[in-house]
Amino acid sequence: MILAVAGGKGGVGKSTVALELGAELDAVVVDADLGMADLAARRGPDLHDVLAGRADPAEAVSEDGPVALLPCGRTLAGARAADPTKLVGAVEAVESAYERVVIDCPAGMAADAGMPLLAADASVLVASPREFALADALRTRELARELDAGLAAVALNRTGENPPTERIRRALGAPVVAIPEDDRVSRSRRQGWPVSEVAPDSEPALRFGELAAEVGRLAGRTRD
Amino acid sequence: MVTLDWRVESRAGVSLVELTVENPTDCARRVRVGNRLDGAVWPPRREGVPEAGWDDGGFEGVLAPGERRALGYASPAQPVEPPVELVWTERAGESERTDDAGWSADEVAPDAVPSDDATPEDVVRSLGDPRPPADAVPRPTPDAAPRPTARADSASPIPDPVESWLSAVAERADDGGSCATDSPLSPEDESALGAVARRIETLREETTSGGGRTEPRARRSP
Repeated sequence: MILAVAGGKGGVGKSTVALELGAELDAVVVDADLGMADLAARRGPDLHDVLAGRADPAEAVSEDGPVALLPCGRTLAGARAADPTKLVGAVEAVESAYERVVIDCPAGMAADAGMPLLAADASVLVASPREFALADALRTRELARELDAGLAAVALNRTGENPPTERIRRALGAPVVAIPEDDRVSRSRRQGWPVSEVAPDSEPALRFGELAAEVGRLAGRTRD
Repeated sequence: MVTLDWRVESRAGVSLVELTVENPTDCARRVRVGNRLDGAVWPPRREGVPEAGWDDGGFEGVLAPGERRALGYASPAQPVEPPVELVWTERAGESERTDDAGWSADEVAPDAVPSDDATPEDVVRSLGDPRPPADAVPRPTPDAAPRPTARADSASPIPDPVESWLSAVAERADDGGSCATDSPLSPEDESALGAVARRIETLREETTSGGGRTEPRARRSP
């Protein structure tokens, strides 16, 4: 199963959600933000090398950290040399080696955001209530639909009191999981750890578990 | 039967080929148009990706009943006549609609979002090439090369290769700090550092004692 974690805007927490879902689903997280990688790189080849034909996709997966990761380089030269059309094949190669893949998508609507959705079987949309622009989320959902990555769930990230869960569920037509703002999420994220490992009983950790269960339900439905 | 009209002109050593293919029959036909020029096919591109249907040898796609299509490409070759040929045509299969069998969906509506049977190339064509422009990528120039020397002149008397090796070891030591092992250095780095230290020590001893040897000689000479 290949899951794309998407959302039109930057800074809404796509990478955090991808890392958490990677931990929950025991999946490899692929940092597909070719221009501005977000998940801490580790030693060895990265996605730029893979897309430039210099490294094997499965061999570029690093299992050193708490979540298996295919990191992405941060240099302009690397981004220039990386062929975005090779992403689909690369992610599929990782899937055949590891079974489950979560792709952390870049922001925006260019081909680098579209390519993970083309590769994916399903998608999770991340939106932040503070910056929530329904139009952006709707556009990303349309793109995901066109590219056959059905919307499994919406992660309404860093919510405060009374998140607009119901309104967003009606607008986007998918289950919405509200993840409350919590320092423990950002603190553990800075160390490269999912909050579910650091504070498994915390509210956000439980919510990420719920989000993963929604994804699992959709994956079960498509398999039937 | 499918007909092919062509026109070729040459500019600055490049042949520009314009053609129209027409399918006057009342069933969809798949056609292959082959390049006869003695040069590579430069297909039309969108966002740097060749339009659907083009390959090294020419073009292949499905024409709807009664459809007439304009095509064009360039080639770095002398013009010959005819520049193209209809290699073959065949009746298109029932499942082959004109918009998913060679003609890309975005050819019909260029800005439309690619459909769910899109290829990675379709995605780049319709959403845009995400790579940074070549001009934005800093590239090592010959002018940049003297910089390390200048730095070495002004600040450090350590030769560049030694300096960079030492920095690499220091970096590895920093990274290794979080490891479970007691020492932040890997065994290889430890022994390499030790070897270098011993070598330097020996070299200094040799040169100082060598200096001792020359001095007596100097004293003996008068």
